[in-house]
Amino acid sequence: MNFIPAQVYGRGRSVVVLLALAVTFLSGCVAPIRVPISSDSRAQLGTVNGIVGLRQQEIGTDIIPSNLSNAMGSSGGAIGSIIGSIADASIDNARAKKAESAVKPIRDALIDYQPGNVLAADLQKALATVPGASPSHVDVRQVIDPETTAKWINGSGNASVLLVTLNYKLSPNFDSIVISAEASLHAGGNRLANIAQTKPDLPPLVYYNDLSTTVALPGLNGPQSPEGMVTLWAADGGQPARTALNAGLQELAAMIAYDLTAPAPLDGKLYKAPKDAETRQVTIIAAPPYQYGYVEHTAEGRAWLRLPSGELAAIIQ
Amino acid sequence: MRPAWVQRGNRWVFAAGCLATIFSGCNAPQTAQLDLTVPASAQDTPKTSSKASLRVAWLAIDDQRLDETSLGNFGNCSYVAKSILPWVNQQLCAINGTNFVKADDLARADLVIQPTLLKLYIQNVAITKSAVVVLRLNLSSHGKSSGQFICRGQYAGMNWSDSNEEMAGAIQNAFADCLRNIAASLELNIKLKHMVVAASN
Repeated sequence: MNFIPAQVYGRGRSVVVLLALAVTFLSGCVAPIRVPISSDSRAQLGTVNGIVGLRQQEIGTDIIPSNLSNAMGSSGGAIGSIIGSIADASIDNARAKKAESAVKPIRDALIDYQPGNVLAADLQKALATVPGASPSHVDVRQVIDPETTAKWINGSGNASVLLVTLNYKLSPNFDSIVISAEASLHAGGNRLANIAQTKPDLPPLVYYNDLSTTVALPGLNGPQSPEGMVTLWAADGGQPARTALNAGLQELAAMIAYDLTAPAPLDGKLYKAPKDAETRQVTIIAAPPYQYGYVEHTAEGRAWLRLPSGELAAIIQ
Repeated sequence: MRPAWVQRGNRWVFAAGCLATIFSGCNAPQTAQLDLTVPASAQDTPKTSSKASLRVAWLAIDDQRLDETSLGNFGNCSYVAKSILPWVNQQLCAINGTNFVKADDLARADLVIQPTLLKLYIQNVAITKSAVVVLRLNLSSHGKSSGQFICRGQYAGMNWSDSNEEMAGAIQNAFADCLRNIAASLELNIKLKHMVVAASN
């Protein structure tokens, strides 16, 4: 009988994964995530088709995971860790159920909002100024699995494909919306095969990065309870939520356009903060360890942070 | 008693084991075909009631989702199903209330309902599975539009086994919740109409 959730105590492959983890820990380094593209390579892409892929149908929720197992493990040993893990699972489940129930008014207010279409239009505008990477059109599709995305890319014939997979969710206390995207460029017609790189679940690519932006509830004055936040987001048919999403998606498109022309790191590996550059913390996920990046670009009260492994994250300046 | 370094070592081995088991959930992406079944209660022919005041007809469902097979994702696993619309249609047509029954034919219906499937998915929030169904119902009476409403059904619960049956069960629970909300909304709608008619008389 399963009495511990499968995601906490999963099945099989433990030894292999343990070895892989040990290798990762021992290597002790941050691997670059971003694959930059040069202007010369962009010029060889030919026709570019854009695809916005959506893995979700509505705005997501997030929780701050419970960490009792750590506290109980340090004082109670292995038994304490096990009891703590079970308590963590129960607390996380209760928090998730509460978040999914509380978010209903916002989802109802956004029932006709199409973030994929908004991002597609924003990308078309933002990329018009990027030589070589301006898409002829941008489709919006539901991502089912990596096989379907590979089919879209491999089926594009001679045209190159810019794939932007979108994710958007409310922060755990509902005070902001985190919009993130995985962007990749796949050269068509076997072009640039000599520089193509690989990433999990994607066909060979010539550009890749993870980008995110965090947008706050417009006009928020002072702290609010999560329930109060829901009421504010959903007011006027969800207008505050639409305003924030529109702004975030527009910024995300601008970030992708910017990142397509941003240079590779000087040493070809990690992105080190230039001397005197401001360093800020970014909260992409709800749980620690939080990441730090340096401010690479500022515009209209926003700061774009470059993380050591190359990701780009936008926060309030 | 064991030396302190052995106890510390055990703790690290246990922590590494926990990490390994947690990360073993991050298997290679896979796609699972879910078998959505119609509950026995919805397989019966809808009963007719002499007390029922309204005959309701359901038009074929309109699907506004981006993909007709997708049922969402849980972690790295994607879920799909064939014949989602017949599964939805069959259960909608089986809805009965105290104030309405299914009309035998469209021409004799007092209320015609055009359903639109807006959302149908499962997703995970940490270790919790959350299934959601959203339908829009456009109502018309004798050729005249009589409003619309949106009904949402939801189910959230702990993920115990990652099994396809568990995921299908969550989606079916969410749909059952949606059906209850539809029935309640229709009852309310019909009662309100009767009040308006009574007031105008």
